[in-house]
Amino acid sequence: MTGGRKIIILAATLLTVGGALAQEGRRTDALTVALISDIRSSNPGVNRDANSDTVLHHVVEGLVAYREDLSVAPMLAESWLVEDGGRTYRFRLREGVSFHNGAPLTSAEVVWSWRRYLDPKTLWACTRFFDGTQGPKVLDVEAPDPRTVVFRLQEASGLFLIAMANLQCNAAILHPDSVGPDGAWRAPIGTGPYVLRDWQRGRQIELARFSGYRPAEGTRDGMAGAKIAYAERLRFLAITDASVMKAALLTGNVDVVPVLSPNDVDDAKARGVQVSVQSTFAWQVMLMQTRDPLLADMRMRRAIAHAVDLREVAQSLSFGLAGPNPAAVPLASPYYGSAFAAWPAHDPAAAKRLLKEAGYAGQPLRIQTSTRPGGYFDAAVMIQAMLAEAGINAKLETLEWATQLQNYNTGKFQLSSFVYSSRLDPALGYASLIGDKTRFPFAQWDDPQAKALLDAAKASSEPAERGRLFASLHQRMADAVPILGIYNPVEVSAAGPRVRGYKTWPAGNERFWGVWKE
Amino acid sequence: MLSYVLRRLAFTIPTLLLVAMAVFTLVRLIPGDPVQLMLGDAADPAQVTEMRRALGLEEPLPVQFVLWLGKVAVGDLGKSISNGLPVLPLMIERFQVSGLIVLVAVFFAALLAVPAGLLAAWRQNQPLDLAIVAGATMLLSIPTFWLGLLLLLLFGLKLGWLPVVGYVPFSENFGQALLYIVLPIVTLTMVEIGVMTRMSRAAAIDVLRLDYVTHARAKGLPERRVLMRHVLPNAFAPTWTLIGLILGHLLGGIAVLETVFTLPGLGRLLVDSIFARDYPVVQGCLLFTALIYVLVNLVVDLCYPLFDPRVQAE
Repeated sequence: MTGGRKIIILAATLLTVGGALAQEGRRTDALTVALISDIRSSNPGVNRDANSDTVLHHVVEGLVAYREDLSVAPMLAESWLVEDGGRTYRFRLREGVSFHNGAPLTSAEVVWSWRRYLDPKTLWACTRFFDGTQGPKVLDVEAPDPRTVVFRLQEASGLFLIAMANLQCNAAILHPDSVGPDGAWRAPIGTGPYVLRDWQRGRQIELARFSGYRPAEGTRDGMAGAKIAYAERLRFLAITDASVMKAALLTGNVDVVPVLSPNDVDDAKARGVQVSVQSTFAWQVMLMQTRDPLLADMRMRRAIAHAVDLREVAQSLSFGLAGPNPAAVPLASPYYGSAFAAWPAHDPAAAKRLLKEAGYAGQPLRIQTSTRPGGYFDAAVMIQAMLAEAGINAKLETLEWATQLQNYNTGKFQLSSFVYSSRLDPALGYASLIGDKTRFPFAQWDDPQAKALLDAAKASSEPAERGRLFASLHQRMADAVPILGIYNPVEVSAAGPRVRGYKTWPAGNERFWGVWKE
Repeated sequence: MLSYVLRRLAFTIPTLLLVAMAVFTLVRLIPGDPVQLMLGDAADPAQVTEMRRALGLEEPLPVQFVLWLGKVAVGDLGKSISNGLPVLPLMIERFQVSGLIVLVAVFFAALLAVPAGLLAAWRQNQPLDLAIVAGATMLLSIPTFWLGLLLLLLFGLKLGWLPVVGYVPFSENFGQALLYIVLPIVTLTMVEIGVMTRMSRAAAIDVLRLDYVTHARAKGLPERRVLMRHVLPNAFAPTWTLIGLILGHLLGGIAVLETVFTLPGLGRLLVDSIFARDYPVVQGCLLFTALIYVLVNLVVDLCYPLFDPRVQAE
């Protein structure tokens, strides 16, 4: 053996030993995380909310997952091939992956999981992305051999992998023993780095490290890459009151608080808490009912756009942590660019001119809002004042959230202070806005040409082409102003002084693999 | 006595039936759809319809009511729309938390408030009375959530003596459970002391003015004996009624307190279910609360003769 080779072997050994020692030093008994409410169920993607997703992403995994840059990466799949002009996806599974019950992952479980999701009786939250309604129709899922799974689609679609990686859909591959003989849900038997050990409803969820977990190649990257579980136990505590959540963090009763009020940032930092601010993919807006006799006139809508100072609203709502974004393409999206800043400028004089042209004579406009956390009410109050300054007689109508949501779904509003939940791909964001209002009253933008642009973006898997299509859509939206986009809310999360490795990312969902306590 | 109890229990049936009808109707009159709330702003209309059908919400309301009532009659309160869990065990589990806190807090509140009210009445318009009345009024005026937060700040954050969040059942770890439950009990005790003291004082003042008390004093009985033997038993009866009402009210849920102390109690379950339009849970909780109210008041009425011999069960 030459001297050089000896040095290389020695260095490699030292690195391995060093890495193992470092990992050993990171071993943590328990990490306690606050949740704003209990999880809905342990059934991934079926009876879900953001809390359920956060917890279950530690327990289960899908074939693919989002990277930090929001591109789609393999997870349980090792690789995939797109065949037949985009109508067939052939996935090759990773070797050596086990379920929590010790059974090896094979294509049979993938086929079982996907057939279950596609069965309408499962009530999966994302069936519409795979049944031809809002995405491609999956004709069949087959398992030609134990490590290969083939998806056959009716038509090519750029959304297939995106929807498959969708965090809310949580298209996890489960072991069939996750359900009983009658098909009733039992508990998730997944392949994730943690096992669901105990769920005390209304109180806490405890996950235990899965000793048989074999991390994927690479480093932690969004929901993909290596997931190293340093904490033996993850405890998620349901704490509904924000001040109690903060107190719990300061006393060390919890290690991570995923949602801290932006006005607590300075205080928390002064007490040694690590604070992260992350722009999210949620979108705060003022909905405008374009079928309302007043708002059907584009000049009225443009007057409203000129009357509202988006920067001021965004800065006030986020305590100076975020800027405005009138576009349905989020600031943190890889598709975002300067083209998406185009919007009628804040100009009360122009607003007054347009109002005069439209023959507006002070008829009242009702702004629906609610006191739901998330700035619904504050945004409505600020916009009401700005509209008043431009001569628009806007009145607030404060509703309970359930009522406001029902009015959104039925289109019963003139203006409505609203927040769209995160859509990681702009096509999904635009799909929530664009549509025939007669068939889909929740649609905000009833424009066949916009629909055609959206359909083209959905079909394309070429990023440059999709970027151009989204820019065209935004330009059209800035002209017609069917909705008033305000900003992408920021998420402020906080970790105790001893927590290491905790990192937020644009998709927002918390990840506690790679996190430890010193 | 037994026939009286049975008759009272029989009267609860029409009461509960009325409550059931009112709750079922009123809950559905509130705008908002449980399925839309579950699916959020990304809901697909076809999916909403499918889920509503699966949950039985597409049936006409009278059919839904009859089906629900039929199940209630055999002790099945249905399943939660939000999480699919059976309502009855869910409520019982949550009630154990609320019930324990309420019973202990009301016990301690009565233990402190009744003598305090008696003392205040005995020393009416004197410094002791003024101090007790001022203290009771202050406690009455403090909102529960604020007092709870202050105690959390002091004992949890500043002094670090007690945990700020969480709950451990006594069956799991007695010592830990005690630590977690101290602050909620202290908060509720303090809040309830106020109203009970005022009631106890007012009742004692009325009794102290009666001739037989003057007679007892004229006989030369020591004041302590007058108070304990002649005033307390008669003044306690109205307070006992109030305790019954307070118990009934609190056992139905202490949602604010449960939110501040992150307790998985019945009140929080009810409030969360109302926001989620989880009809079966709301109906179950309100029916259960009505039942508790009726039963607590029955027990209070049955105990009345123990404190006031003039009152007979019949």
